[in-house]
Amino acid sequence: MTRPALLLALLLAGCGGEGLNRSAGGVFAPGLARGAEEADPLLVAARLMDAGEYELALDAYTRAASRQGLTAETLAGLGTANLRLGRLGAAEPLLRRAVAAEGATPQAWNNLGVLLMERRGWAEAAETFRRAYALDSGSSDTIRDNLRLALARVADPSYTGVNEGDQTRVIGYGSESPLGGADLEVEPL
Amino acid sequence: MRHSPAAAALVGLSLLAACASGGDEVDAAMRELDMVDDPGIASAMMSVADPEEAVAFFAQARVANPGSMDAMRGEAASLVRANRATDGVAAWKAVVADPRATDADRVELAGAQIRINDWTGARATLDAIPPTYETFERYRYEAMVADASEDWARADSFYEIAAGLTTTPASVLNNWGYSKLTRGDYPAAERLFTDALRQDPTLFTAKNNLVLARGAQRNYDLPVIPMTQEERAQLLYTLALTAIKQSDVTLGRGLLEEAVESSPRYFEEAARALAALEAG
Repeated sequence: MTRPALLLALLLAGCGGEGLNRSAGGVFAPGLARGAEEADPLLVAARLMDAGEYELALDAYTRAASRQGLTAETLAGLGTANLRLGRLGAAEPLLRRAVAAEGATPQAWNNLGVLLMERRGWAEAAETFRRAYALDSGSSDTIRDNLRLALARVADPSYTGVNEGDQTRVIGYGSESPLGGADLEVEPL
Repeated sequence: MRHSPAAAALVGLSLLAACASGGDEVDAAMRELDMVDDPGIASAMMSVADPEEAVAFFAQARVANPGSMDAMRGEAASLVRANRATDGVAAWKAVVADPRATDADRVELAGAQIRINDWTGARATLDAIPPTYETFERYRYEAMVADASEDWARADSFYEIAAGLTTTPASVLNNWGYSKLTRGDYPAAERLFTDALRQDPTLFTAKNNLVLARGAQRNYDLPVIPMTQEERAQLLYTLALTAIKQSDVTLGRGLLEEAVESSPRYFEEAARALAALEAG
């Protein structure tokens, strides 16, 4: 092959990667959209959480935290994404900081309570749900149901709930399955 | 093989080059002195590090950058953690004397003063904090100070506030129960220890106190609470000693035998007490 032909081929290959305009059938995803305005990472994260893409939501919350700092909102988001991924150890300090920070939301308190239920800290979970419910002025059914379940567990910790179907699934070491507790609901942020 | 002068010069140069990089190491070492500004290192020193190590770390940091409140606070808190509360009080006093001190620092000073039994000092420190500063730690210490001056009404109210300010009230409920036990109000103490155990079923101190409160009412049955075999033996031993002190010696001997039998290991204290009882 002659040298000019090689050069031409290289140039043409460079033309191929132009975003969505390239020919169909390529194997690579389109690259970054340059010049366009960036979406608000918190909004992106909330939508990814809705879509169940928790790993990507975690990335989006991390980006949000790098812009806005570790506020109550970003901490709660990071904690909740980790909780959804079943990474309880990583989620716990984040959620605890989120509820201690200024402007803590009832959602953050609720999600900390869900985490404590997974860790079988019934009494502390009940207290946490109680605070979430009070902060929400009692308007959330989710939090009320969580509080009810936690109080039932405090009253009878040895009850396994086999016949009731309200058993919270314990997540094994190393596995990254999402939370399996049927009755415990993580509040969307 | 013969060495050429050029090769020797090359070796010499490379040695000198190694010397020149020493300056960077010194810089790195100097930067380490400012590590107290790194919240990661400081918080690790405050939580998981050996307390004496933490004291040395923060003392060095305080010398390196004088007037740093973080270093002073860290040193004072580490001194208390290292069971050197007398030094800790002095260090906290230095922190509180600074105009940048916060109410949280005053609460810590009161805690250190309580550790060295300086109740009047602790009371004065707590009185200097404005009543709008409401935290769990503050009311816990307030309740302890009120207990020490046998001001039961105030103590009860402070314990109640403290228990409401935290999501893990087991330890403060245990303290409250112990306060009731000191006053001789055994049924109330029993109720509070049961509450503490509901909050934290693994708190052995509360189990032991619960058994004491029941024993003081001449109720020598073990309460129905979750416990391990070893804890069961310990609780039976506590119950036996309570019974013997109240001159229910025969009951106490039976309980001691039960304690020795139910312990999974050789229970030296119980066996010795039983031998002493049978000899005398």
